[in-house]
Amino acid sequence: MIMAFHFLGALSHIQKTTTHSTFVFRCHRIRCAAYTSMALSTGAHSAWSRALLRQKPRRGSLRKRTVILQRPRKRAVRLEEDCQDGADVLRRLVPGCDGMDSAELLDETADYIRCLEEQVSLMRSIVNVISLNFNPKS
Amino acid sequence: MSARRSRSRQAGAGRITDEQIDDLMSKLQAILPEARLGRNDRVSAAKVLQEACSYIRSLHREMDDLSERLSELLSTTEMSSAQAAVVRSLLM
Repeated sequence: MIMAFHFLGALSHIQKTTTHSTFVFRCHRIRCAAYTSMALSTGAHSAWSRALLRQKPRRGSLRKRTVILQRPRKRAVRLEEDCQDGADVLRRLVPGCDGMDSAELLDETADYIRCLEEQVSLMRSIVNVISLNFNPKS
Repeated sequence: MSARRSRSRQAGAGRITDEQIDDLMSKLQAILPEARLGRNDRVSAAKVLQEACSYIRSLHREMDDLSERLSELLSTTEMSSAQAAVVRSLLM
């Protein structure tokens, strides 16, 4: 629900401030708002959400909490050789995971995927509600 | 997540326990849609990672498509009136 409130608020704001903007620009603003609301609803405990929020100037500070795994970080976890390519691609796809060790990477990935699914589901619901109730022609 | 050191490998080869990696892999496999991997326990770790990448890419594309759709709708719908309807439907 936090995600929903953030995102709906952002959509309203975008609508008011893009009345004379191009379709592409508005689309870009909406996409940014989507990733931001994902990150805001997760908070600062995930590397991916912190990375997304760093991209946007935000008022107030986002306190970085301690990493969940309390073990000493000297020894990096390595996966089997044939997994390295997949792991490297993941590090590029999931924000904020550059140079992350594999165990944390897997954890971040799972969290990121869950949030992406939630955001997509939210956006689908919004599209459905608006299309059916307010835009019967579309 | 606690740092489990049971059955850890000897020598500092730089690995956390295999068990921990397996658990994380299983967790990741469990959240990928069934159609991509099936529920077969014997999917390789490399395959899980590959499917995770592919799934994330498709979710990103879907976000793009939905953003476009919303952009179209915003140009013709008054959001402040639609907002209440959206919230109601989400709460139900």
